[in-house]
Amino acid sequence: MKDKIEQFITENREKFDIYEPAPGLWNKIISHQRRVKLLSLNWNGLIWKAAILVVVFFSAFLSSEYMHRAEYSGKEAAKTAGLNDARIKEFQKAEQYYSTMVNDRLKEVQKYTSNNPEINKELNYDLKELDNVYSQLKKDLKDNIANKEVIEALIQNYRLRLQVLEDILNKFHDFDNAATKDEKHEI
Amino acid sequence: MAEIFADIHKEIIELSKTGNSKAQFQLYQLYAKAMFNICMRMMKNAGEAEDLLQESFIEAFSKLQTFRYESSFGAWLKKIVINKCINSLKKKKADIVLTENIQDLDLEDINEEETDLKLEVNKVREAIEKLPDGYRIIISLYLFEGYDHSEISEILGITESTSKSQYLRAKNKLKEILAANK
Repeated sequence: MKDKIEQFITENREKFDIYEPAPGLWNKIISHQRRVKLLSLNWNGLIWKAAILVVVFFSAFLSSEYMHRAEYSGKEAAKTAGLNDARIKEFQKAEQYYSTMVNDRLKEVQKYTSNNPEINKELNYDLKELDNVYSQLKKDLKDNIANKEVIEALIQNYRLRLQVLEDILNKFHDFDNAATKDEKHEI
Repeated sequence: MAEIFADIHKEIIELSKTGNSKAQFQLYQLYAKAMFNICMRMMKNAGEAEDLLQESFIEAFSKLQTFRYESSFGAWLKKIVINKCINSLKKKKADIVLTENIQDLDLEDINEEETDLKLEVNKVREAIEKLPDGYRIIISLYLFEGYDHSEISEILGITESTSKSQYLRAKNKLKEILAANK
C-alpha cells in the first residue's frame, strides 16, 4: 500500500516537472546530426579512393620488385647496397618530417572528433589499416628488398594519412563556417 | 512474446526513422521537457542535464531503426536518458549505492511523523534535491519514473533487496528532511 508521500508524488507527478530545456538545445542536436551526415558521406568516398590508391600502388610495387629481382646480380648488389644506405638516411629525415606533420594534424582533428565517437572510431580504424601497411613496408625495408620502391610506398603512406586528416579538417572547417553564417542569419 | 505497443506517435516515429528532421523536431518537442526533468532530478545541475539530454536525443535518433514498438517510445527514450545519467554519475564517482550500516530499525517505514506532514510540491522537490545522490536516484527511479525494484536492480547493477532497502532508507530520509523543514 502506498503511504502518504508516495501517494502525493503519484497524484502530483506532472507538477514536479518545472524545468524547461534551453531554447537553443535543438539547434545543437540538429547541427550534430548534420555534421555526422556530412562527414560520413565524404568519408566513405575518401576511404574508397585511399583503398584504390593503395591497391594500385602495390601492384606497381610488386611488378617492379619482380623486375628488380630478375636483374639482380652480385656486382650490382654491392653497388646498390651503398646507394640503399644513402636512401635510407634520406628516408629517415623524411620520416621524421612526415610523422611530425601527421601527429600535428591528428591532434587538430581529434579536437573535433572527441565529441564524435562514431567518426573517431572510423578514423582510428582507417589509420590502423594504414599503420599495418606501414609496418609491413618497414619490414621489407629491413629485408633490404627494392628499397627505392619501399621508400616511395612509405612516403605515399604518410601522404595518404595527411590527405585523410586534412580532408576531415576541411570538412569541419566548412561546417563551422556554414554554422557561423547560419547563426548570423538567425540573429 | 513481446507486447507490441501501438504508439500514438507512430507516424512521427516512422518519419523520423527516415531522417526527416521536421518529424525529429516534433518528437523532440513532445519529449524534451519530460526527459529534461528526469535529467535534472538525477543530476541536479542544469548544464549537465542539458548535455545529457542532447546526447540522449542524438543517440536515440542514431539508433531509432532499432525501435520496434516493444515498449512505448517514451519508455524507450527514457531508458536511454536514465542510462546516460547513471553512466555520467558513475564517471563522477557519485555514491549510487549507499552502503552505510543501518540497523533493521531504520529500515522500517517511518509512519508516525507522516500524518503531521503537510505536503507541497515545491517543498517535496526541494527535499529531494537535498538527498544524497544514491537516495535521490532511487527515489527518482522508483517514485517518479515508475520502475520496479527488479528493473532498478538491472539499471543500477545491484540486487533487488539492495534496491528495496535503499528505497526505504531514502524515503525515510526524505520524510526526515520534510519534517525538519515543516
